[in-house]
Amino acid sequence: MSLWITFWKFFFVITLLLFAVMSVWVTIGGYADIKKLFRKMDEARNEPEDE
Amino acid sequence: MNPEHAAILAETNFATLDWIIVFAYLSISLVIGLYVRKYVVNMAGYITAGRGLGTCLGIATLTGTEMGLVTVMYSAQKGFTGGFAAFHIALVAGVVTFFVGISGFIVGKLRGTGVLTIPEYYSQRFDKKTRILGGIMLALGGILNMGLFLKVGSLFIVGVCGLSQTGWALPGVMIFLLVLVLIYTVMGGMFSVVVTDYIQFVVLSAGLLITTGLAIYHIGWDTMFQVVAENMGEAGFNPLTTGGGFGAEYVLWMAFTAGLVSCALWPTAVARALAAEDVATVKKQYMFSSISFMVRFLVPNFLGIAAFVFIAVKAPEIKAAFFPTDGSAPMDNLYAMPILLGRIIPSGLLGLISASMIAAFMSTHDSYLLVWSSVITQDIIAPIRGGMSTKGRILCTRVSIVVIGLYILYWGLMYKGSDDIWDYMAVTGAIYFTGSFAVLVGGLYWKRASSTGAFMALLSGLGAILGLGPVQQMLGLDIPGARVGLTTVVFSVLVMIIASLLFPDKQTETKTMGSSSLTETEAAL
Repeated sequence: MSLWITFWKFFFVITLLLFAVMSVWVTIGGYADIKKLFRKMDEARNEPEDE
Repeated sequence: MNPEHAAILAETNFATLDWIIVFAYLSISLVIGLYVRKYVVNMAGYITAGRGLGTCLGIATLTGTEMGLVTVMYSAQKGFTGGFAAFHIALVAGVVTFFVGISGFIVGKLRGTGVLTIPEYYSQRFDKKTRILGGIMLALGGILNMGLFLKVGSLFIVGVCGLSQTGWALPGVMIFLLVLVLIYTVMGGMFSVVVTDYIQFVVLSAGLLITTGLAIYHIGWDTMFQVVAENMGEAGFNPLTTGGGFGAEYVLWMAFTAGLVSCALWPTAVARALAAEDVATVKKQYMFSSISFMVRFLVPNFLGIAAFVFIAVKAPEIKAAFFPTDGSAPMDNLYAMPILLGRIIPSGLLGLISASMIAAFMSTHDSYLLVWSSVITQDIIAPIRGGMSTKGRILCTRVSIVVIGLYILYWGLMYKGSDDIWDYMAVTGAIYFTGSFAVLVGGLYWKRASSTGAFMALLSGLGAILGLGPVQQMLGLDIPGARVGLTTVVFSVLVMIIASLLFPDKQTETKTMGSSSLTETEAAL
């Protein structure tokens, strides 16, 4: 049982640390992605008018 | 509800400030969701956001969708009843998702075909009747699966806010949240969904990490392991032990459902792969999302365990309600986690945490509504009618969203079933995914897979209905849901192989297995 306890402790802590780092990265990168998406959509909306 | 139980629920730190935070958050989500509706100009834009999702936005929206409040609730319930052994669900889910990301198994190939929905691939690779049947099975399994989301999510909100369990509170919360989600999903489609999912990801991530820290601070890290060891013994840690709540068969079923199905077969997850910029983005998105796929089970499991320990050692007055010794009915253990949060988190922060949970609720509902309704339009109604205009498709999708919303409200208000939410969800979902696993893998990786094989494999998925409690009672059966599910998967694969060999397609070589091509919908648009 002690082996399982040690394993789950490590698993929990490591996963949460990875998630914390990923959350910061996704928060910053996701904001940039949204701006890129809007830019792309603005261009797409304007295309028929240009033709 | 028992008055004593209602009194326990009424005791919470939730105050006026928390209400202000929650309403501010909801208003921001609604305004942004409505603002982006201007980008909806065609069906591809409406259901895949113009295929403009970058890696980070893809991870955010995938996490937001798959980490729903219903997942938080049933995972907490698993932690409450199964202890740390429940962590195995997070482990297998993360490992399987990571390998799907590395290999691109199913999702990479599917994105390469250029289709908008899974049944559309059935049409591209097999034929129209397989697409329509696939669409019906998907919509049936998916909408049934979603039936309990609204009620369970609202139970959490009512529980953590300390609202009365009787009277207007529960239906009021259900109707309010549903209307909110319907408005921005109907108007903005996938654009609204991904942008609000992003906000919801940010709020949810912060909320989960803060809540975990507070639970450890209030209860004690070592105390949690010690109390679980004393009360559950080996079964509280070892998921493979006999006599515990899990076992090897259950772990294997979780690897399939919480792992492979959740990330590579479930349409709401696959919708993100299909909306990604390219195959490389899909792979990256899945590799990084494997962390979220672990956390979506791990943290709620942990909070469920924390609730168990809190009730066992720190709140004896509540312990009697959950574990009565006088023969009275125990309190529904779904309430354990909301009670914990309502008591250990201070006012102000509780508003933020509640907003994060509401975020989880909304981000799941919007995506599910959009995916099922787009399948109804694209894969059932449009093929049967033999073509529809862009405006007609968007209108049909919007109407379907509202109808599904009304159904889940009705189901949530009327449902009086047992507490086995996860079992209910796994079985209803299995109606779709057991057959689709055979059809997708066969179609993408086996040249000799035929339309007849695919059609029959999809129908085989109906065997999963045998896993439902009421059906088993009716037939006098007593078979674990995990066994029924795994057997149905094997059966569908065998049906796919045998029927394909017996009834091969005449022009198999002309069908698209996984290469990019102009899809039927794109061509029509």
